[in-house]
Amino acid sequence: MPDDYPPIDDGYQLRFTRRALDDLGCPPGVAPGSIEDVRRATVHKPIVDKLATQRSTVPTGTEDPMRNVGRSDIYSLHGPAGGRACTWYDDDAGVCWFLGFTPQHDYALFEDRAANDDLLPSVDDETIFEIEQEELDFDQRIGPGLRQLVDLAERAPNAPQRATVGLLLRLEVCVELLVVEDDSLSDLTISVRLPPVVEGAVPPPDWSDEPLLERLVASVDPDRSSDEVEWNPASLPSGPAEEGAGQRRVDHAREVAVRLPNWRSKPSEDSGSQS
Amino acid sequence: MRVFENHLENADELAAAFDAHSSTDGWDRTVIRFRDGDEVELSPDFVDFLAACVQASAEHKRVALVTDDERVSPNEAAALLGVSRPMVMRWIDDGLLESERVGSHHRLAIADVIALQQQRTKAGREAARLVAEEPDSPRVKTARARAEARIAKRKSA
Repeated sequence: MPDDYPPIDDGYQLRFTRRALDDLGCPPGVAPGSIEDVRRATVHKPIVDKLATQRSTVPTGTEDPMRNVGRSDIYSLHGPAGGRACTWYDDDAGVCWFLGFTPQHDYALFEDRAANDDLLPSVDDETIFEIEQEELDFDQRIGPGLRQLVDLAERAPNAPQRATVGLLLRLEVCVELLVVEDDSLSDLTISVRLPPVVEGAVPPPDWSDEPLLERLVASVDPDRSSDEVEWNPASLPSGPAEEGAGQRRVDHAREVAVRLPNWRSKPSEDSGSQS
Repeated sequence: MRVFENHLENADELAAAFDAHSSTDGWDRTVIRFRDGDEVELSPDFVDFLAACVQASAEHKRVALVTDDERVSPNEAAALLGVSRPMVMRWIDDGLLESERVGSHHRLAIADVIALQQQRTKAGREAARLVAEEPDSPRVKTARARAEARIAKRKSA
């Protein structure tokens, strides 16, 4: 079975580095992933508002990349009163980082930090991010990524989709299309690579008593009864039939799996449209 | 939602007055007197509400009046929550945020958005506290190891 479980791209969030919070005059204890907490703690509210409105739609922004910072993916964010900030989009982690702020037009601040390798998020910033994810409940941490995998699987029937979800679970999801005479049915399969929790990661606080597979099934189809689920199937789809693949045996030593028969495609109706 | 300016006229004077009269005696005899002499006595709850607004204004904060039934678009919710619009749409799909369809558009109750925002803020504050106050705890150490691995991967890319 495969070893590649890349992080899922399930949207992104905005966060502040500790250096940026210091630039904004925020005291210790402010939640670095909370626009509202930061906004409440700083007098430089316009630049926080600009981050929230602009970077929540485009993570790299619309301004030119910043020069003289040693890389081409740091973007300026212009404040309304001449202040300058910069951001960096970490595609892998799904985070747009607010890296620093100067109330003047002082790009040298960012250039100096880049020269000292102090511009990007520090180990503490990344550690707080890791723990913050651990603090979120199952629905917030696992649900969005799992749903994204199901969406991908629905768009590419018979092709297993693999990802690490919520920095925690390595999942494989497939919608298997079954053609019966003139009608087509589909099954949804979910496989969890063992051990279920990525080494060193802490499960969500509300995931203690409930078996994992039941929790995952409830996340994708809350109305489905246990009788309508095939627990521990012997085989799983291994790829599109036209590419010569078919079924593979479940490796019970390395994964647990579940099959949801008669899965109907339910693509999200509004994804991509604007409100 | 109605947003008020961040430092209303009289804010300092009013805040000082509320502060000076914040005893129970002061609260339960607070009245609004109209030009014609009519008076309406305010309940303690209502005085608390006014005092909070006045205090925020005196601290140069903007005050937004939002009622539970007000609704925002996914874009507005994304800005409030500090996440991307696709993330908001996924939370709607997952049932984390309830939305009402108005034509082809989604509308979300502001109360639901704020509740989710508060959950995430609480998680962030707890994470910041742990890293600052318990840097040698096993939990912080393992999280730090993963963070270091991610940074190393970033640098080698």
